[in-house]
Amino acid sequence: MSSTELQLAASQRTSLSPMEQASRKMRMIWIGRVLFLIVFLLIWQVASPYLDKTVFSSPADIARNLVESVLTGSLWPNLWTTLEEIALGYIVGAFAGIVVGFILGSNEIVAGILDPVMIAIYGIPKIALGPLFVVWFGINLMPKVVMAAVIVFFVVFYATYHGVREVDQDMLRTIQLLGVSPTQIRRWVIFPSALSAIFLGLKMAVPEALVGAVVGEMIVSNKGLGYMIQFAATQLDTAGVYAGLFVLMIMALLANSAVNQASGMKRR
Amino acid sequence: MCVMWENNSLAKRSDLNDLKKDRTSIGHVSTVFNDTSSYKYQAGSGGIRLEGVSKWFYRSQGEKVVALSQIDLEIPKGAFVSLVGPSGCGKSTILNCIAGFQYPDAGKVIFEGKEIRGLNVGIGYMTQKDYLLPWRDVLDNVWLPLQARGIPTKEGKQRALEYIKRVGLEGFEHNFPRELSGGMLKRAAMARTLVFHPSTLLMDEPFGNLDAQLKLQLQRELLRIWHQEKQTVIFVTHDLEEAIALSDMVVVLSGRPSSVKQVIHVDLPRPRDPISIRFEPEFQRLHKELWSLIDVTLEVDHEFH
Repeated sequence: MSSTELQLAASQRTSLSPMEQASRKMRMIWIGRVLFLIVFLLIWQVASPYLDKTVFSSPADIARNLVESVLTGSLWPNLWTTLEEIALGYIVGAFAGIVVGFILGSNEIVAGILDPVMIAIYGIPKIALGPLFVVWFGINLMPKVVMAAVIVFFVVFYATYHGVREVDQDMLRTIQLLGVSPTQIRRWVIFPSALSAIFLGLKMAVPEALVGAVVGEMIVSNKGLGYMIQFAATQLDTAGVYAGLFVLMIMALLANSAVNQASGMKRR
Repeated sequence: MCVMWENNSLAKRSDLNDLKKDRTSIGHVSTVFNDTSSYKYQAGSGGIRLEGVSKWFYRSQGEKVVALSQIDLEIPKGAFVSLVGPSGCGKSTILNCIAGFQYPDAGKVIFEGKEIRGLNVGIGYMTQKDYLLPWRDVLDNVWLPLQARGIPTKEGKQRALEYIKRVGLEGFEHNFPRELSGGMLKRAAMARTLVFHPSTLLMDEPFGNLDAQLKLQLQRELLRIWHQEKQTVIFVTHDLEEAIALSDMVVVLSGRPSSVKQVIHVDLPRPRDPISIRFEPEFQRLHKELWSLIDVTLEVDHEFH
């Protein structure tokens, strides 16, 4: 941006409404993002002839690889498989997390009994459970779904648990005096007040579902993006590895914006 | 006018009976509503009795602090009773003991013939905080106690609206608590407390932070409703004029360790207007008397320091 443009922008800023200013700021941010990406890819591309191809590959090779896998159709079954694992794992894990979080959050004794178990399982790196899941559920969709579900479960569980625990106890007593039964209180008071914490957990769990599914695929599989990346690596096809990572990144971004959209809707 | 009020309140009472049939678990909502033709309360049983109630706690250094010491108090059914005394003298603790939020360390609280063990569900307690549900609008907040009792939605909301009107919140039914001023929140909480016709009302400085004008307005409203429904009211306040204007009895508590210093009977005519009553000579006399009691308490407090 030239200095005259900057001056112009400064002089205009004073006459803009806050909303116009905000949208202006947003536009700047987006232009900046695109510029950053272009510059980054350009430098990578220009430098790539001087770098080891099996380590760094190049944007052009990665793009070629992606286009090829789209044209031959080899990307879609892998993408679909991973999406399926993510969706199933997320739904199961999130549901279980909310239910168990709610029960333990509102029952101190049960929570006390199960606390060490929860902490012990939570403390295990989930990838260490992978071989066990393979033994239990085979090598198909199931172990990956379970892996994703377990990871999602803990994120949502802890969010819900703390959300429920933080409900003002004085408020609960006062509401109970009004003749509201414990069951009604759970439905009308505790759940709604824990809702923002639950939403935060649901949001944080989305990328975790992705992690679970791909980690599961990397242990044993013959389909999915994790498999695609693993397979490319064994072929020393670095461009293929980057292509797989690129698809995962796009998925993470899309999932994140979808969650933001949903939580924005909730607030309205 | 008077007759109309009474007819109105009789209708309320049959409503209330329906209400009780709907849910038996409400607990202590008593069936006794005495003598609508007189504003005088009935002495004797059916009210609240504190028998040697003591309450203490320990400071972190292990030092024992007595908050309430041997409180004996008889609150007749249908009486409007104010508790006054220096701050920190345990007025709120007394209310908490009646509500079942706290238990006496010695002595007992008898509520309508039964000793209180556990939450005194069905009592109306207006705490200092309003505890309105932020995700419900005013109407749904006031409706909550009726919704809990399984009263048909239409009828319940109708009644909620009626009480919203009574506390002067008409036009704000669909506003959320975050959109209301402090005074409006108090009024909404008051409507929610009154809407299910509790036989007893505990009010902990309900008009404490309001400006003088709004305070008088709400006092008037409260008295109007009380004249109709004749709840037993226990009203904690710092404001001696408010105590006299509203009450049948003013209980003066001493500073910590708190005990009942004196009970003053207010024999001003009813129904009262809390504003014009202030200019009665009898009011002035009581006010003076109360001040002298509180003053002595202050002096005693002074000696301790």
